[in-house]
Order: sequence, then structure tokens, then C-alpha cells
Amino acid sequence: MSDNAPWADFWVNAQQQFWDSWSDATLKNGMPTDGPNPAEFFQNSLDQWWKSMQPETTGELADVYDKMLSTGRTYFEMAEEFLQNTAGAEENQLDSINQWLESMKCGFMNISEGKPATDCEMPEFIDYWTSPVDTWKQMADSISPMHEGMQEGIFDAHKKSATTPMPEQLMQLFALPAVGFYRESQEELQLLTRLVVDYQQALRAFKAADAITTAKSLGAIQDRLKEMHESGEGSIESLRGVYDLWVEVFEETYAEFAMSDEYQVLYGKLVNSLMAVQKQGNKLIDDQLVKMNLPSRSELDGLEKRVYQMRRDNFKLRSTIDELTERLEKLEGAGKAPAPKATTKAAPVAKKAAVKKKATVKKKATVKKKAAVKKKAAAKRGA
Amino acid sequence: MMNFRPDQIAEELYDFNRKLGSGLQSMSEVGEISTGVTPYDVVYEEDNLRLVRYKADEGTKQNKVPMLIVYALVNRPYMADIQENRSTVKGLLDSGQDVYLIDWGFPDRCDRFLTLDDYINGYINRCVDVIRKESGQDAINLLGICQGGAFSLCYSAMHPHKVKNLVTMVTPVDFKTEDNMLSKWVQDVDIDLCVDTLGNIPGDMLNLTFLQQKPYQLTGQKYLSLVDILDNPSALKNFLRMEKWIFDSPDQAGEAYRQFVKDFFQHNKLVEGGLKIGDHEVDLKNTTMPILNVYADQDHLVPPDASKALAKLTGSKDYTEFNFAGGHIGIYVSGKAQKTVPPTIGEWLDKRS
Repeated sequence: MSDNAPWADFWVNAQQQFWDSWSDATLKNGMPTDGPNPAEFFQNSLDQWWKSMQPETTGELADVYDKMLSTGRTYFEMAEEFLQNTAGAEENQLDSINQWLESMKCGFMNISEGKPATDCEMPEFIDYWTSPVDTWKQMADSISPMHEGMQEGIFDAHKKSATTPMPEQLMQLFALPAVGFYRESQEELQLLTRLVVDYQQALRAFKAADAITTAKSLGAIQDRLKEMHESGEGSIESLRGVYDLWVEVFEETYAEFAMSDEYQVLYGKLVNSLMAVQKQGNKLIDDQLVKMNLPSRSELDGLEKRVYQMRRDNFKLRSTIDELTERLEKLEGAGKAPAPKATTKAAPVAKKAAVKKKATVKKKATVKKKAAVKKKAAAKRGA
Repeated sequence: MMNFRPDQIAEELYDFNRKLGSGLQSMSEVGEISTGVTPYDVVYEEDNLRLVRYKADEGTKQNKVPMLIVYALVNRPYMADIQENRSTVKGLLDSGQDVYLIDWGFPDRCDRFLTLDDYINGYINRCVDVIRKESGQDAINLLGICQGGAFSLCYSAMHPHKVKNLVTMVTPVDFKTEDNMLSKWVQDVDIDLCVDTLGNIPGDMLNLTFLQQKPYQLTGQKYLSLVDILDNPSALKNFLRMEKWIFDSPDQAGEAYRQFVKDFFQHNKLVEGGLKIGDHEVDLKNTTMPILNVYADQDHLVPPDASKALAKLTGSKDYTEFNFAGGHIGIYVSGKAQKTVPPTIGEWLDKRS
């Protein structure tokens, strides 16, 4: 990586020049209107830098870098929005910030009611702000190959416009009874469609509730700032302070929502409806595999279950054999070696039993010996 | 209220970019992120599982009763041995314990039908037997971590004669305390449908569920703060090591996951009773051996009350609690934890072994 050192110097110098000019402009006129904005500059310069580094970085590092870049971009977008809305407003700072936050609240309330958020002024940085809905999307994409297609018009519209529920008439169409030779496969496809619609409804409900929580968070930020302003206690000394306050308040409001009964029900419906779609999709694929005389998932499951049961039986048998072998070895050992000295109360009984056993064995052996001698003598006599 | 001017913001952003620029250089030079530092021997293997025995420094006087660490299935166990100066395993070795650990490996599709019975009365029991045989001890010390702690409790209740002392670390017992977010979320989830649909439960799904507990901190703020440590190679490496661990999550064997979520999270059977693992009834009153219950008072994954519930349920007459002032992860990796947690466990065990 030593080759990159001159590049890094160049990059730092370029940064210096940009920020000096940007700083001058903000001092003179507030937010500069021409030239690249900080977020764009940040993104572009880092993209270039990253391209030069990529051959030498591992996948893990690339992932962390992507997350850092995306958060950095949010941070710079936020800075820009913040400056646009507060620059030159030292006198009525709180009013300017409130106005900014109100416009965002308006946008999120619109989303929650299914109206376009663009009716209100929504800041760009909200697009880069990772919400619980985005985390859900990421999770759903990772477990369901069908998810990408199902979310059309829902996630795209997450922050800026409303989503329209599927018309009732169309839903009724999917509920029409299937007839004819292909009725079974028709029924399966109709079911899949209904399940997709169920999932989309669950997702809309989750998204609406999330938008309300976001609006509440914005309200909570307004309350915090108002409290600071009125009490004169506490102040924010940096842009980073604004960001940290933002995260703290959002996290608090979200935690309250996440611990509510409402969230429990919404989350349950979201997971269950996605799983139902996926299960029906699996079934359709399985049906096709059977038709092609290929092993299906359900057949493999059946086989695996049998193998597992055999393994369990095997372990049990092995354990029983080990136990019996151990007992046998003990018994054989007891037959060969003299009994150990009595150390417990139970020992004398065992000793007595051993003596009796030995006596019996001796007696039997004597009887057998005597019988053999008699038999030999009789044979001689016969001869 | 907001005491800064636009030019200060520009300065702050420049400073941020400067740190990023010079720090990215060190990021590219960070090299391989190694985890798991203490040397060990593999003493037993079965399927994906490996039972390892850690090597103590020469001359360390060891407790004659060996200790088996049972880690959770949901993450990789190298968290307990993440780096040289932050290793619970090393701390336990230094405190004179003879440490074994079960590395569950990565379950694959072939493990879909592994049940809790297979894990607890199968794998754990066979590992315990291997150690008993190797050490010549009738009973060994068991240390269960998080979900592995719940498994260890069940095991100790079913096979009390094989467990000399039990240590539970950040272990959930009451899964329905009011502050348990994970438990709240899972109550309305149809687990049968999930397992029947997905087979094994993907590790990514669990990861993102954990992230969703504090989405703004864990998916955003954390990465912004990373910029502040980019110029510190050691702190950067620690960050990346943790990051690797967080996202290095094995899939969960379907059947075991089904039973764990239904019986523990949804029906809270360790508290309510009625838990059955294979042919065994599990009653915590049968955990009659000495117990040390270690919990973290800022644990957001296993709230302290979830762990402390054990006090009223165990049949042990020698029950001790140890409160660590920190969180669920800090209890293994923080500097404070290194000084307090392993020595406390070691001392407690030495008095009873």
C-alpha cells in the first residue's frame, strides 16, 4: 500500500482546498449554491480513493467500508440540510429548526396515511438514513429469493411517496374458484398471489407504523431543543452533537414502539406472511421437481428424518453396548482378582456373596470331577 | 442552544474527511483479522462439532476438575478468546482451570433435523463423557454462556451426577421479563411455519434481528464513530475483529431452533415447568450442585432479571450471583471484565473442586 501514500497526500490537499472555499462561502453567504455540495464531494472523492484501494482489500473490509461510506454520506447530507435550514438564523434558531423538523414530520405522517410524502418538503438525507424498515428489507432479501419482486412499489416509495393497496376487485379475482383440468395448479397460483398481497399489506402496516414512530421521534427532538432553549441548560456544540442527539432520540422512541403490543402484532404478521409466501413458493417448485422425476425437498426431508432416527437408535445401542461391556469387564475382573477390602457397609454382603459363589463353583467343579472319574472307571470296566 | 457557526461545521466536516483520508490508509494495511488466540488441542470430533482443550502456560497449577465451556449456537465461540489481552479463556487458564470448549461449527442442511435432545443429551453429554474419561473425574465443572448457559442448566438438571459445579454467564432463565425485546418480538411469530419453510434458520436473519434492536446505533452511528479510531491501528483492528464476530453467525439447525423458541421464548418452560428434552423432564430443582450465576447489569439481550430468576428455581443450596457492571459483550471483551470475571470464576471453582 506504500504506493498509495502520494495519492493520500493529494487527496488530503484536495480536501483542504474544497473545505477552505466552502467555509469561506458559508461565512459570507450561508449555504453555497454553486459547485458540488459537501455530500457529493465526500462521496465522489471517497469513491475514487476506494477504487484505487480495492484490489488490496478483503471482502470483510469492503463491507465495513461500504457501511462507513453510507453513514458518512448520511452525515454530510444532514450537515447540508441543517445548514440550509439554519444558516443566518441565529436570532430565531429554534423556529428555523422547528420548521425544518415540521416539514419532515408532515412527510412521514403522509406516508403513514398512504399519501405522497412529496406533498411536504422531505430532506434528501432521509433517503440515506437506515430505518427499521430498511433493516427488515435487508433481512427479507437475505432469506427470500422472491422478496425482491414482492416489494415493488413499496420500498421504492418508502420515503417519498405513498403506496396504494391492491384494489378490492383484483383481490376478488384471485379468489374466484378454479375449474377444469388445470384447476389444482390454478388454485396453487391463486393462493400464492393472495399470500403475496397479504405480505404486502403486512409490510404497508409495518411501514406506516414506522413512519408514525419517525414523526414522533422528530417531535421528541423538537421537545428536547425547546427544553434546552427554555431552561438555558445544555447546548449542542458541534454538528456531531446534532447527529448524536438525533440518534439518541430516534433510538429511544423506537425502543418504546418496539416494546409495544402493536409492534409485536405487526412484526408477527410481517414474518408470518413472508414465510407463508415462501412456503407456497417452495411447494410450487417441489411440485415441478416431482413432475420432472427429480428429488423434491419434501422427499429429502423424509430421508433425512429417517437417517436421523437411525443415528439416534445407533447411539442408544452403542451406549447400551458400552454399558454392558463395562459391566462384563467388571464381572470378569471380579472373577480373576481377589475382592477388594471392605470399605462400605454393603461390602460384607458382597464378600459373602462372593464366597458363596466361589464355594458353589468349587462344589460344582468337584461334583463334575468326581462324575468324570466315575465315568472313566466305568468305561475301563466296560472295555 | 446550538453554539456553532457554519464555518465551524465546515471545519468539522473537513476534520472528519481528513481523519477519514489518513485513516483509510491504515484500514488498507490492517491485514488479516485473526480471532481465537489461545493454543489448543482438538480432543474429540463429531459431525461439525469439535471439543477443544486449551493449553495453559507451562508451570500453571491446574484445578484437578476440568471445566467445559458450552457456548451458544447463535454465534461463534471465539468471542470468549477474541484477542490476546481480551480472552475469558486465557483468564480462566491463568486462574488455574483446565479449560475445554465445544465449538459447534457451522450446521448445514444435513443438520436440519438435529433436536435439542441431540444437542444436549447427545453432543454435550458425549463431550462431558470424553472429559470425564480423560480426567478420571466422575463429575466436571460446566460453564454455560448465554444460550449455552440455558443448555447447561438443562443438562445439569438431567445429569446432575456428571456436573460438579455449574457456572452460568449471561444466561436467560426467565424468557418473559418485561424488558426482553427479543422475547416480545417472537411471541406472535409462527415458528413452525418459519422452520417448515426455511429448514435451517439463516444466521443473517438472526443477525439482522439483533441489529434491529438498536437500529440507529448499530447500523449507523457505530460506523461514523469508526472514523475517530481509524488512525489508531490497534483500536481499528479491535473494531474489525468485533465486526467479524458479529456477522460470523452460523445457521441454526431447524428442529433445535423450533423447540428452543417455542419452549423457552414462547412458553417460558424453564420457569413455568413442563420442559421435556428427549425422554427427560427438565426440572431446575434438580440442579443441586453449587451454582455461580454471572450476569451483566447493562445487558440488552439477556436482561439481568432474566438471569436472576434462577435463584428461585434452582435446587442448589450453594447459589451465588455475580453482577458485572457492563453489557452482554463487554463481559468477555472489556478490560474491566478481564480483571474481574475469570478470576472470580476461578476462585469460586477452586473453593469447590
